Amino acid sequence: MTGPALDVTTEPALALRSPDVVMRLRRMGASFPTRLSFLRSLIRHLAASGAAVHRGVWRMDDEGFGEAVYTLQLGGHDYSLVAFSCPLSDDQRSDRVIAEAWDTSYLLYDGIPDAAEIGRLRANAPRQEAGRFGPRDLVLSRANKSVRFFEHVADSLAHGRQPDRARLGEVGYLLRTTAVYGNGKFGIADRCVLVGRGGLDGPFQAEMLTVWLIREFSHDLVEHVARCRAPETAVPLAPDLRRHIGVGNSTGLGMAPFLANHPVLLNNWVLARETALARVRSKPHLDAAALNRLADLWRQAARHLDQWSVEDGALAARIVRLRAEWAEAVAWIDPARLLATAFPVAALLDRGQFLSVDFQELLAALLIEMAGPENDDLAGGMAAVREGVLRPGMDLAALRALLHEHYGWALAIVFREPAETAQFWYVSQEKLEPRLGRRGAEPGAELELPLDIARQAQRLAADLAEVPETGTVAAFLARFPRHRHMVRRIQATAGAPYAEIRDNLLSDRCLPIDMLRCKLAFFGASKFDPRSDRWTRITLFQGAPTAGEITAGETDDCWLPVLP
Amino acid sequence: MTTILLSYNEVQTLARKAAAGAGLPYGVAEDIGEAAVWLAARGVDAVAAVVDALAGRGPDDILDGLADIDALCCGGRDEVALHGRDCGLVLIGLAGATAGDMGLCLAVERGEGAVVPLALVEDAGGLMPSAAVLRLLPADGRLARPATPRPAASDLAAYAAALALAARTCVPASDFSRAQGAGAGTTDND
Repeated sequence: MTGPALDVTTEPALALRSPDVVMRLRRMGASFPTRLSFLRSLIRHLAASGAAVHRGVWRMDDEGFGEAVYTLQLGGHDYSLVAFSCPLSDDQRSDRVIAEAWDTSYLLYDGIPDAAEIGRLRANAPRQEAGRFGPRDLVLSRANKSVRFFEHVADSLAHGRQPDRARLGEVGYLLRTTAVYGNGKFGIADRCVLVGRGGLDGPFQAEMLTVWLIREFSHDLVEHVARCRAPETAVPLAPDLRRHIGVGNSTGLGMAPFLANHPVLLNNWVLARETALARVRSKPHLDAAALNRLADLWRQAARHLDQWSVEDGALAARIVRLRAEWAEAVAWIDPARLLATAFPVAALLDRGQFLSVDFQELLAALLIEMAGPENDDLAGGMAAVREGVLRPGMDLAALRALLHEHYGWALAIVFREPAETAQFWYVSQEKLEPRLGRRGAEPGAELELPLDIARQAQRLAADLAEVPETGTVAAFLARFPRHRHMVRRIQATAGAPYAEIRDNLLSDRCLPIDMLRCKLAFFGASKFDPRSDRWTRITLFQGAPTAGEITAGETDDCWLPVLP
Repeated sequence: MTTILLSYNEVQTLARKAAAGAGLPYGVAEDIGEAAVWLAARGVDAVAAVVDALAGRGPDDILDGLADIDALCCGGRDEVALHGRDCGLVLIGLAGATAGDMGLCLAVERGEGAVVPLALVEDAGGLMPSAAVLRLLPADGRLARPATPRPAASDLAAYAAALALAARTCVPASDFSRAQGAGAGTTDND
């Protein structure tokens, strides 16, 4: 259910972390999934509604090429994943947005498609951006096979064996999505269609449902291929391994500007998480059950960290340090000591300040997990209806006060230093996707996207200094229309403390991967596997209940998956 | 006329980008996107309306008109002239979107004196060409008419013109940008 954004004034005095701490790129780039992450909300909705997935269509040849339809009911509505699997040569297999063909393609359909509708989607879904879609098409997606692992699993099952656990732990998925489009893209339904629909009206819930059903399809597809290869010997995936196979995802720069372009939405996500953390922090005592839970989750996290391996040197070093800190800090959660400690969660968080940012963020996620469903109400406030409305009647003194109160971090940046404007964001003509360029070394800086929030704040401040405080925003914007975006933004974010990334997105220190990880952690992603500073692979729904298990609800593996 | 059926998000995004491509500041282009949605929900081919409004010295007219609407909303003026303005329909869209956002009762006064609150408009195109001025009326608590489930169809030629304007905001790809701009990987056949 979509509720209003949290009104912090109605909460008792919670010690929320400062935006100056939380909204820094480095810390955002250390985000972990939490119980409030979107795939977790979806799992709870599916479990609560007793969702039953029905595979109404399965037309596949022996090689696993064909089509399938999976349908479930949620909140009184039928939704169907329509899946297409096609042959694809290796030279066409690319995770990049410039690809033009994929192993598999998908539509989340509003209802149950008849033959004509499946035919329409068959003609369009495999073409993705080149296709055209309509109001009953809710989400468009595609995925490529993890070729070697898919083959290994199919071959193993065909020979009556389960796949190698080490390889499964290393890869974690059979299919890797490279785009999941919602909200009106290429003619599909606008997000407003989902408003008021139980189970799907929160942020990215339709997209998460799509990915969860793609995961189910991937399990069925590999078992189908194995059965067709060796009907006499093939076996299905063991339930625990099936559960550990999630869906991969490759995410690039296209996702990064989203956070800067949706400040109120970002605030609502972070505010919910920070409020949950503050509620847990405010607990005067932890009882024995909570302490046991804390210890269980600590072990879960330790095992997850042990199973999280990446090639990226920088992240690999961070993970090594985090493992060591996590192992050393286990002494902090000694039950005898914590039972005797007043405000034990606050004490843990305060001690964590002396360790790495990665440790601090994992600890925060763990403590929210420990609290269980007591914070689930916050998930209802994570959507945003509008990003901001201009208030032309505001007097300039008030605007100036807001600017200095909330954008001091921006006003402090020294833009005359070349390093502070070393990069620029732009949209590539080729695929209309955001890109990041080096100013002076690449063309296109004159067309840069307005992601220079801090620089805009400074330019606004300079022009505000030239006019009397007695005027109105309306009169000011009539003279300076170039500030309209920034003025609206300042007005909109005045009550949204976590709206702004408090770093300079033009700086040579800005790493897009930090924005990607923040957003993906809110999705519920784990096993971040950066391939550069501007794109990453992740896993979604690894460890989450499969369709056959969904009514049993969540397990700890939903938070941080651990290979059994 | 050949048309294309867009989603609201497509109408909004395309209108915003076209406005930016025509040289309007980003914050103004954002408002043009909102205006296009408001118009498209009330029977108007909003893409065509925006393209028409951006022609010639349209961007300057839009800036003037938007400043007038801002002033109207905060009591800085009594009315905003529509008659004789080529961007009149887009100004109505801007006013309609603003009225909805701010909870104001903005209305169109026609040449013959009839006053039509924008919240009650079903066919925004029908307001033209007799629309004379925009006025701010006391709020009367009447609920706004709901938007249509999908936007009015867009003329394909106007759609192409809007895409051409929007393309002005994009940077042509190069081998360098393909390789570096998105941080591309080398192989995905793993």
